[in-house]
Amino acid sequence: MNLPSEQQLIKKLLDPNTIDKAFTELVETYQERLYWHIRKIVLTHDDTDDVLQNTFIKVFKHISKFNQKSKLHTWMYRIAYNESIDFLRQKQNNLKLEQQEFQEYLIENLRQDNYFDGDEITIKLQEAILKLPEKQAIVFQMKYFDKLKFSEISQILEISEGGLKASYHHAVKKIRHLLQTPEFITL
Amino acid sequence: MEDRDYTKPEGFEIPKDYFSNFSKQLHQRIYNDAKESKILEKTAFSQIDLHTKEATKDIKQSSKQKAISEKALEKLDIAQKYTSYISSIAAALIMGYFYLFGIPKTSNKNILAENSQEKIIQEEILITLLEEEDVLKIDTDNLL
Repeated sequence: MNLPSEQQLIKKLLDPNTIDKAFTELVETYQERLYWHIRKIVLTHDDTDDVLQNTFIKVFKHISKFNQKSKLHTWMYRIAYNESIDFLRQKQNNLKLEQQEFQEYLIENLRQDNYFDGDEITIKLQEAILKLPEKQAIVFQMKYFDKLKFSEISQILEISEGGLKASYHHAVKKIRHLLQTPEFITL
Repeated sequence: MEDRDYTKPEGFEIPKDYFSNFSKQLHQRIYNDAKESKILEKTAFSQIDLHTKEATKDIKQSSKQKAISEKALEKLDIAQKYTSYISSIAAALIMGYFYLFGIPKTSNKNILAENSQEKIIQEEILITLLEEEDVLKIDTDNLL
């Protein structure tokens, strides 16, 4: 999707006569990339489905407040990220679990998810990502899986590129260390 | 970012036709949410309506009670006025009676006088009794 068509879409979204059609177009254009962005954070399909719906509802409700200082997809990525983090925090609070227990719970849920058939190495990689601080984890996911540029991640997370590079560097180092630790691999 | 291929990470799957149905499901949820919020709005409005009605009823009742108590106070005031009026008439009548027929004999003065007379009689009797006792005493002494 090129920039002019994104601007056309925004124009249609802000017009009450065309908003319904434009919203369907918006959903169909971005649903897949936002789905995978969310799925990497919340891990299971059912949770991703909930968060993706919440994300689009938020976009629909707040489109009139979109100031167009950033690109539409950057703005939606940020909403999706915030919704995912809020969802996980709320879930942890509801379950009254400590951070360590909650990480174990998420990994166990991923193992039992009907829509996951990854091998043990994939699970261990996800487990290692969960052990990272929140900021490092999201930077790693956006860079490693989504292959986003630091400039794009910087726009989404509103963090300086220098800070992002440092976070990514630390994240890679920690994940490498964890995956080379025999106790972590055999657990 | 726009032209990048968003492939799923290894091991992660999605239900078949998930993306082709997602938009429909989302619209359904937005519709349901809107319906629910409309119901909530309706309930909230009916609650407000109910409270307003109750408040109006209370105000009406209290103003009714106020009117009743005001009426009662008015009646009490009239009754007080009548009482003082009747008392003054009664006092005037009594005064008129005294003026015309004089003060009756059974006045307090007479009662006091009667009382002092009775006292004098009582004292006289007592003295007589004591005198008699003295006489008796003398007699007894003589006998001894």
